[in-house]
Amino acid sequence: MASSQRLEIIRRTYYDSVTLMLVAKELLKLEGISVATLNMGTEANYKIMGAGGFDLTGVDATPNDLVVALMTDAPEAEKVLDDALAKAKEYLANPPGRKKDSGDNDYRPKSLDGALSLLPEANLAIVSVAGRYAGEVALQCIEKGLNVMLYSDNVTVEKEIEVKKAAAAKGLLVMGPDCGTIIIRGVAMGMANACPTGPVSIVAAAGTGLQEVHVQLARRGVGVLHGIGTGGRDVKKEVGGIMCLQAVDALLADDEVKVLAVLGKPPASEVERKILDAVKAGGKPAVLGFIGGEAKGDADGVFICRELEETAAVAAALANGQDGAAARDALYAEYDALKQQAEKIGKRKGYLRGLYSGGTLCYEGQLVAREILGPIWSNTPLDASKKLADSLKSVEHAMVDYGEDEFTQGRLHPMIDVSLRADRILEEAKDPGVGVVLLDVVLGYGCNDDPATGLAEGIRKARKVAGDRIAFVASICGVDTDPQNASRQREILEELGVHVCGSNARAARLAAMLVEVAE
Amino acid sequence: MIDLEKANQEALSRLLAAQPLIVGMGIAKETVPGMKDKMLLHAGPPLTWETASGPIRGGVMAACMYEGWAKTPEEAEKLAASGAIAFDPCHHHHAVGPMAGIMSPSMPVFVLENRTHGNKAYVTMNEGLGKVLRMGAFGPEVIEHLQWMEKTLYPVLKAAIEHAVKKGEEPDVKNMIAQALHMGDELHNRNKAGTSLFLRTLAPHMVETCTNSAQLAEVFRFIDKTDHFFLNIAMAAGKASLEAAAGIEGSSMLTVMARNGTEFGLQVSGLGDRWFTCEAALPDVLLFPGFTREDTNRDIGDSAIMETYGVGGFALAAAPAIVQFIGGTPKDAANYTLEMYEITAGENSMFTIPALNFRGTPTGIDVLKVVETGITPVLDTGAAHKEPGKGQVGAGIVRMPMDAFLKAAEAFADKYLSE
Amino acid sequence: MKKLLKEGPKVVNIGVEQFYLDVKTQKAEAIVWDWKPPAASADLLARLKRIKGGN
Repeated sequence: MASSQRLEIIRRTYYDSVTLMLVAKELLKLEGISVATLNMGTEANYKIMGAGGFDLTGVDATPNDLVVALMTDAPEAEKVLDDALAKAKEYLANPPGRKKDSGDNDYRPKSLDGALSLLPEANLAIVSVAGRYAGEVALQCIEKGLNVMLYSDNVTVEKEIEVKKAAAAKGLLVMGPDCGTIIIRGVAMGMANACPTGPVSIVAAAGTGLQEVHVQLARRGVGVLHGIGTGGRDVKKEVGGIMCLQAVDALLADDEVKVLAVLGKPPASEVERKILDAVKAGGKPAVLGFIGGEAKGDADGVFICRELEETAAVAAALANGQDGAAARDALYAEYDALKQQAEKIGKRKGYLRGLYSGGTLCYEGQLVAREILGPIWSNTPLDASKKLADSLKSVEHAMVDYGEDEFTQGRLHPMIDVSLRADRILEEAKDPGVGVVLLDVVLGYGCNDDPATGLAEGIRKARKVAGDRIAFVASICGVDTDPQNASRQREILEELGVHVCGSNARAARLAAMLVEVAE
Repeated sequence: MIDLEKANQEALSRLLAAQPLIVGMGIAKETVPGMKDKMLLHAGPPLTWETASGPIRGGVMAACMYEGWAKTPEEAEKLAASGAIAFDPCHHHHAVGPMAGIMSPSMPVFVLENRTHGNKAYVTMNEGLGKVLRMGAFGPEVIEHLQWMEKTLYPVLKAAIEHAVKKGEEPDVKNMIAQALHMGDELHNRNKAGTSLFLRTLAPHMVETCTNSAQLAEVFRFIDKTDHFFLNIAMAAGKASLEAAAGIEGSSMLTVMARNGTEFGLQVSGLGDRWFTCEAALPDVLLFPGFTREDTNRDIGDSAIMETYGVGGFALAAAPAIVQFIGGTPKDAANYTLEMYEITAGENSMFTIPALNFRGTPTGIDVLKVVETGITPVLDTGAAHKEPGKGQVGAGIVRMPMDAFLKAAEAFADKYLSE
Repeated sequence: MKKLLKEGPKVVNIGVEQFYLDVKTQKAEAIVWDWKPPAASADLLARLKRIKGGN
C-alpha cells in the first residue's frame, strides 16, 4: 500500500523542540498515522524529515517556520491526514503533558537531613516502614534529637532495646514498636480519637486500651492531654519497662498533668513493682489499669483497676476531686443492671462469638465473658489450652482478634478494612449453634471512615440466614467529634437491631449474659 | 580516623575555587599529555574493542579513516580489533569527550587552564548535528567535516583565542556558565546561551585575526547552528575544576562520572584515580520520530562531568523546558534539583538558579550520601542509536546506576575504617 | 521529651501517608521524609557509621 504524506507549513512561529516532540508523540497514537514529526525548517531538520521518508520537494520552510509532517498507509488517507492535522493544531495550542502546576507537587525530601532542613523544629518522627528497617530509621531520628512513635511491628527485641537505650540516653521517648495510638497535647496520631484535652494523662502498653480509656474519659466529660503508648513488649521482662517508666516519671513531674493512668496487659512483675513505686512516690492521684491483673487493693492514692472502663471511671472521679472507689462501685452497679437488660432482650440458645479488631478489647472481652461463661476459645486465648486450631473456625464460646498476624499479613488492619469481619459474621450466622455475636467498632483518625456500614452488610446477610436466632451486641470506641461520628455509627447499627453498649466491658458482659446457660 | 566533613569541605572548596580559562588550542598529539601515535582516547571508563558499544566502534572507525590508518570502514574495523591501536579513557589524559568522545592524535583541541591551581584540561571541538563521529557515524561526510574542522574551523578559532590571550582576555568559561544558567541553559542538554556568549566574546578577536572573510563567515555560520558548541568547552572547564579537587584524603566527593556506552564509571577524591564501574543505564527518554527503545544504546559520554560539576541535571530548575521531556512541569524540574541537594556536599558559590531564589546549584556529589539515601544522580542527556552511524535517537532524564556507588562506598569503608 | 510534651508535636512522617494527612488535618506541623530502603547493606551502613564517628 502506498503511503500518503501531508506537509503543512505554519509560518513565522516558534515552538520548543521538546514541545514538538511531545505533540508528535501524541499524533503517533492516532489511528492510521505511521509517521509524525514536527520541526522548525532548519537544514538539519530537513535531513531528519527526509530520512523519515518524506518527500520535501517544493517545501520552502525557513528556520522560522514550523513544518508539520504526517504520513499514513490508511485507505482513506486524506481524511486521516486532515484529522491528524487538526489534532496537531489543537495540541500546539495546548501542549499535551503540561500538568497544572498545583501545590500538591511540593518537594518531598528523600533524606532525614533534607526533611529537617524544611522543618528544623521537628520533635517527633512517626515511623511506619517495614519492621526490618524501622529500627535503623528510628536510630537515625534519635541521633537527630527526635522523639519517635514507632508504629511498625516485627522489630526484634534486641533492636528495640538498642533503640530505647539510645533514646533514654538523650531523654527522648520511643513509643513502640507496635504502638498504634498516641496523643500529644490532644493531637491524635496513628489510630486515635478526637477528644478534648484535660487533666488526665495516660501511659499505655496497649493501643486500643488507650483508645478505650481516652474515649470513656471523654464520655464522662474529662479530657486527656497526653496518651503515651509504649508498645506491648516494653513492660515485659526483657525490655524492662524502659519507656513506660520514663514516661511515667515525665508525666508525674509535669504540672499540667493532674491525674495519671497507666494501663495495658499485666507487665512483668518487677516492672509492675517499679511502676507502683513510682506512682506511689509521685504525689499525684493515679490509676493503674492492668487488665486482668491481680486485684490488689487501692492504697496511698493509687487505685488498682482490672478493666478499661473501670480505669476511666476512677480516673474521671479523681480528676473531679471525687472518690475513686465510689465511682468504681457505681460502675459495677450499672454492670449488674445489665442482667435485667439481657432478660428483656431475651436470652439465646447457643454460643457467643466475639469478632474483634482491637487486641486489648478482645483480651478484655475474654476476661469479662470468662467470669460468666467459663473459658473462652481464641486465637489469642487467656488460657493456652483454648487456642483455636484454625482462627477461621470458631469452637464453642470463642473470641477472635482480627488484628493478629494470620489476618494482617499482606492485608490492611481490621480497623481499616472491615470486610473480613463482615464475612465472618455471616459464617457464624450459618452455624446453628451460635446465639450471640459480639463486635467492637473502633473509630478515630487512621481508621475506616465508616466501619458500621461495612459491618452492617454482614449483619444484614446474617439476619437473612439466622433471623432472630442471633442477638448482636456491639460497642463503639469513638466520639461524635471523630471523623466517623460515633452517634451516626451507633444509629446505623441500631437500625439493624444491634444492641450498642457504652463500652467494651458492658458489651462483653451483656453478650455473655445473653447466652442461655443450663442450670 | 578521618574527619569526613572537613575533607569534603576541603574538596568542595577546591572545586569552587577553580577558575577555568581557555588559554589556547593545539593538535592533540602535540598538546595532550600522553597522547601517542596509534592511540585513541574515548569517553568513560577503560574498555576493549570486544566490549565496546556501537557508537564507540563507529567513532573509532571514523577516527582511523580520518587519521589515514585505514581507507575503508572494514579496514578500520580489522585494525581496531587487531590490537594495533591503544585505547585509553580521555580522563586518563586530563581530557573529556561527549558521547563516544573519540579523540585521535591529529584532532585539534581546546586547552583550558585552571588559573587558581594551574592544572590544564583538553577537549575536541563539537562537530555539530547530523552524521557525526561522536554518535558513531563513519561515512565520508563525517571525515570531510572533520577535515573542515581541522583545516578551517581550528585555525580561525586558534588565532582568535591566541589574540585574546595576548590581550589578557582569556575566555572565562566559568563566568559564561554562570550567565548561561540565568538564560535558560542547564549546560548539558541545553547550551544555546553558552554558545552565544562564547561566540560573542570571541567574535571581535576572530574578526581581527581572520583575513579570509568567506572562511570567517563559514565559521560563524557553523557555530550559529551548533547550539551545543559550548558543551565541549564547558565539559573541559568541569574537568579542569574537578581535577583540582582530586586526591583529598578522606573525601567522599566524586571527581568523575563518565560512561562509555557499555559501562558507567566514577572516581572519588579520597580514593585516588580508581575507577568504580557497573553496567551503564539504558536511557528511557523521549525518542525522535522513527526510533524505539530497542534502538537505544546504553548511556554514553563524558558529559556526566557536567552533573559532577554541579550543572546539567543538577540545574534542571534553571531550564524548565527540558523537563517536558518527561511530561512534567517546572515544579518537577525544581523537584529534581531539590533532590540533588540531598546527595551533595554543598551549594555552588557561583552557579545559581533564578527559579530557586538564586540558590547555588547542588555541588559535590557525596558517594556516601548516595548509598545512604538511595538517591542516584539524575542526568539530562542525549541517547545514541546502538548501531554505529545511526546517530542520536532521543534525549531526556536518566538516572545513574547504583552499583558503582556501592562499590565505591565499600572501598571507602575498607580504606578509612581504622581497625 | 519535655519539649515535645510542652510544645506539642511537630512531625516528620516516615511511611504510611495517612498519618501525615491526619496530623495536618489537626493543624499540627508536619512534613514527609520520602524514605526508601537504603541501597547500602546493613553491614556497609554500620561501617560508614563508624567512619563518621558513630558507635
